[in-house]
Amino acid sequence: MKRPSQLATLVVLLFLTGTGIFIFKWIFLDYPLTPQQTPTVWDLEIALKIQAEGGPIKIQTYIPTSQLPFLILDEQLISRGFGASTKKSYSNRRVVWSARDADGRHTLYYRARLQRVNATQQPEVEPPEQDKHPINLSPAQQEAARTVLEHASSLSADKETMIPILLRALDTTTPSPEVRAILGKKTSKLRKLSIAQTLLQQININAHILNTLSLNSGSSGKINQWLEVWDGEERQLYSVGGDQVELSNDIVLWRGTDSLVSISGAKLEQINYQTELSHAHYDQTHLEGAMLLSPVAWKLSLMSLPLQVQNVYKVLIMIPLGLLVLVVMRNFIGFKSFGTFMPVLIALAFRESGVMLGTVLLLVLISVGLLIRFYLSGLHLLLVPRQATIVVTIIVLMMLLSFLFFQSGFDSGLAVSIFPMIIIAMTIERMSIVWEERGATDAIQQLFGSLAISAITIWVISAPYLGHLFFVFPELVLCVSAILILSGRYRGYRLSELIRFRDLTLEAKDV
Amino acid sequence: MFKLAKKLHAAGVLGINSRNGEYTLKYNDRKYYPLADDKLKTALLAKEMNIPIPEIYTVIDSVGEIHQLHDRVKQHKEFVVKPARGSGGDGIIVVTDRKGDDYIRIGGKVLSQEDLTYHCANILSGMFSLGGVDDKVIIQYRVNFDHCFKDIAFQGVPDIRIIVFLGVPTMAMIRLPTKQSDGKANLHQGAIAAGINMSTGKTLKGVWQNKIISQHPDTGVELAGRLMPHWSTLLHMSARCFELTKLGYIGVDIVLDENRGPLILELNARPGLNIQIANQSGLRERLELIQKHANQLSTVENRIQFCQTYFNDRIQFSESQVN
Repeated sequence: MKRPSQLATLVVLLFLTGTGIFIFKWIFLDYPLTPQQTPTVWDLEIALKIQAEGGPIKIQTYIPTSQLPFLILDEQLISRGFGASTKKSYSNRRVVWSARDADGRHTLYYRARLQRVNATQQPEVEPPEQDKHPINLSPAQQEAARTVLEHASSLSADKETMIPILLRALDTTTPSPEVRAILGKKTSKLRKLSIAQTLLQQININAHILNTLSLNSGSSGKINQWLEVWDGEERQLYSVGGDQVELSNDIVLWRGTDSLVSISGAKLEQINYQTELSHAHYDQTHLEGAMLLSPVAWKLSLMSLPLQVQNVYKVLIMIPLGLLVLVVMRNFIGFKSFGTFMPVLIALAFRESGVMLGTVLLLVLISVGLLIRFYLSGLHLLLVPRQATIVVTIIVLMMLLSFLFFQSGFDSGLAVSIFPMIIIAMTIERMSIVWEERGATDAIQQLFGSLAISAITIWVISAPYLGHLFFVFPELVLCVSAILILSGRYRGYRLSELIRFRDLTLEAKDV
Repeated sequence: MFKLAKKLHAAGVLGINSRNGEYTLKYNDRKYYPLADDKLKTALLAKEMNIPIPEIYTVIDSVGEIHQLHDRVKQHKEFVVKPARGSGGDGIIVVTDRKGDDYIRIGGKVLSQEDLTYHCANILSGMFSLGGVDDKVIIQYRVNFDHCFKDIAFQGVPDIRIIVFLGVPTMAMIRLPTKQSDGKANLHQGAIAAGINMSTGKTLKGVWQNKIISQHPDTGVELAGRLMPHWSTLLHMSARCFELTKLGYIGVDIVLDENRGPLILELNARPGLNIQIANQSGLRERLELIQKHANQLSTVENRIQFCQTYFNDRIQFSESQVN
């Protein structure tokens, strides 16, 4: 037989495609699995206060580059009266402010929103080019340097163990005479690190000075310097004391020994870095991080659509789940309902009111509608005009309910959508037929069957977690369709049939 | 729960999913459905094939014709009004008498001329039809029920349902109204269903509200062992419905008329599964047997012989099960 294997292939294909895309987006592109997962978004502000001296001004300062684990979501340059542009040189990025003629005090701002992603990937940094001997050593210093290096390597097994020893030799409170000779009078951290860099470069180790900004909520950030040592594609950071460091809460500002700000034509009065943890603009920002990771996947996601369209899909994408509920309730449990898809449509209509209120509203509308339907049938109206009359009646009823809700300050009742009237009218018509032909018991039974399915559907399609999951990972719909197709092959008993036919098993025992 | 499902499976009980997926979906070609769903089409074909049906007096197929209704039924004291594409007996009105211009319904309710016209208009606009599509009104001969079952059918209409699979009458039951069911033959409104031994045409014990009973609850008359009159005719008629509709899995509803004998009331392309309860036996075993021998079952005679040979007393109840 051909069909079962085709079916299996189709189901497996749908399922694998769905879960495959889902897992890829979740693990590798860091799309958030839950709505609760708060993304870490930092607001960074660099403020430069300058005193202009009249005449042309040019100010440059380093700004962060999008680099894992931090992604720049958006940035702004605020500087009235100044031209501003960003410039990339090597792995660094700078903002350049310039003015032909400026006077007095000015404050220039750089603002950025950075998002920390939990990507499992290593930072995709290219090993930067070797610096061109940042520090010139005199022949005597060269000699001393060689001694220091030799000493360090004699105490170590390899490069990895040598670097900390070298750094410690430079950073000790009791430096050797050779070290003192190299360092000179300047014993700043930067000086020590750049000496270490120079020495390492002499033995062909690609080393750099990395300037980072630590992120602290509510206080001004601190700039730190690290020695960055490259071994092929791998890099390692060392503190000036020789400890290996992992950057967790620091963003890279620039590489090199240059100072942060270079300024001409003005005096820098103050520089201030403000970092602030921000939980605002939740949904959008977190997902924008995902956008930067893979623009193609982003373009194919619902979040790239205009907001109104997004809102439509937030509802539409949940319908497959509602249908799954319906299939389970009908084909596996054996609920009876008016019309095949009516419960799902009712659920969609009352989604915004919630399960409880939605059910109550529906019951009120249907009971009043039924009364009117019975009255109208006494007037001998034809079917279509009669149904139309019921639709109008329901609109009026909903209006009255809305007034009532509004006056009693009960907002959620106001969430009415356009299409439920027709569905309710149809339900009333179906119900009244069942009522007349098969009795009230049957009609009420079917009504509660429909209501139960609707209530569960409302509950499922308005679950925030599921809503988020299906909106961010719409490919899960493929998995749902795989389940739907599979359930279409279910030939077993419905739960209700186990009860209905339970006595027939006695026979089986005796045969 | 799974244990129960397993037991039911072992007993060969057919569930609705299984009926749909393995039988109606496979053996009932979509394009032949109207032959069973549209009672007018069924009637026309049955007439051609000489299968007896209640005579159709007139058909109304447009609103403009409705006013002629009263003229057209003038010479008939009793008649039945039904939608051609109705389902589950919805929209059927049985008129048994007149009083001046008014009609009297079967329960004694009075129906004015206008009430009846209105009902026909509702039928025409598709109120009772499957899917709400426009429909036709059939005005039909009212069956005068054979009195042979008067003692076990309380004030109502017993009808016989035969499941016909690939032309083989597979399982049968008779539905007997009770006081509780208000003269209706609807099982869950309290009617009795009694299975029928296919080979002898005799009734088995009855099932009433999921209990096996041996006497009619209203009349106290023994239910089991009653011979269906015209049994072999019933088998023939139902078997030929396969040729009539080309549908592999159907339910044939037959009534016994005092004067005209058995008449086919309607065909059902999605027959229910209550018949298993009435017979206290699952359908699956019989259906699979027919599937196995399908190639030997080309003629009506073969098929009837097959059914009478195989589907006999295996479904008799042992005394221990009777409560």
